[in-house]
Amino acid sequence: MFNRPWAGAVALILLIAALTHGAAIQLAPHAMTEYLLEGYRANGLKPNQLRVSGLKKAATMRIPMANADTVTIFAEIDTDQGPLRLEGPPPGDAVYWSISLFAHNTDVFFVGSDRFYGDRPPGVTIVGPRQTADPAEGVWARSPSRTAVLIFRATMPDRNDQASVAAIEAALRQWTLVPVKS
Amino acid sequence: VGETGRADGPMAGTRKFPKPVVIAGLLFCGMLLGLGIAWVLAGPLIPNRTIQNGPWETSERVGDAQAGAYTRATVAIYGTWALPPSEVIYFTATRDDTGAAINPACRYEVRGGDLPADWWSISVYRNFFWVDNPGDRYSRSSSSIQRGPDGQWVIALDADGNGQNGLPLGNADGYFQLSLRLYQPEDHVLANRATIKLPAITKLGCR
Repeated sequence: MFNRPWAGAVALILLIAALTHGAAIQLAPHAMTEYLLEGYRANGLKPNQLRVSGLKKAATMRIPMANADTVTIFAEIDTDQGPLRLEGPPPGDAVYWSISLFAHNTDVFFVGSDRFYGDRPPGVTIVGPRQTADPAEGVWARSPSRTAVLIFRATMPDRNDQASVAAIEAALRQWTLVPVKS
Repeated sequence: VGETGRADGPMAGTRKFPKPVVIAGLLFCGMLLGLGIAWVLAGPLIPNRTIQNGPWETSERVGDAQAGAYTRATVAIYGTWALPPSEVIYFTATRDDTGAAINPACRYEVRGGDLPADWWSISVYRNFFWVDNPGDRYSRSSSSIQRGPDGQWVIALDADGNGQNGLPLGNADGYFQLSLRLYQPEDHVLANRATIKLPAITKLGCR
């Protein structure tokens, strides 16, 4: 098939390189999600459990290019455990807040910010790819993957203003993520 | 020991290694090549369809669910779980206004005024993570920065970060980035990312 003795070897290397390259590019986001989730799991976070992350410092930050001015609620969402409802009070002291949901490949599939909710009570019902019925009411989002990531970001006016940071964290601790009763 | 490579096969002209070893070697080389190209194309060495604005650059579709595989991989690795441009536009700068890489042995000023967003911040990163410092000062923002009477502001960027609105670079070498985040940008910003007025990054001197 190959006129040159080394052509077969080169072709094989290029074929394997192309396959590996494609797989690496496609799988890198999934691998990053798993790597970061594993860190949370190792710290005792269970699926569908909210964790308020207070102010982080350089020595404890695992997420690259993280925003130093936010406090967050984080959760690994297992959509197989049925529709889930996230809700809580808006953090009044925050200069910006949003609920964001990411698929396992890191694509964002829902963002609801202070501007989006306006005067409405903030919250979202999360359904999975296997749940075909749409929620009857309220804001909802369907995850394209079984596992999703929930991040509630509240941006502080000044991370060195302890009273303001404490007020935001107190508001975040009132948020709940519970199964929707059918 | 398995079968050896045949003299008239693809391995002709090479030393006669056992065939499984030859195949394993080729597979290894192919995988290494594929991973290397993936690292280069998804890494910071080659920007993914970036928009340039002075020393600042931004990816066209960070946080966009329709982002291509390369942009998705890059953002997943270097800016995991970023928000879409409707919420935040992320600009990064690794160089000053003259095009020289940001160096912790040098002093800089980042100078600007009002930016077209509800809220903004400028953060500094070494090798993609915050620079550890005694004051835990990693950023300056529109709600905490000290401004002059004309509304203009200056961030002092140097190893210690002790100047007005200081941000420390630390003393260790590395790959330095400034990140400018525009939260809830004004409507015109998305279409004009290459031309809106962004802060200048000026080198003042080096040790």
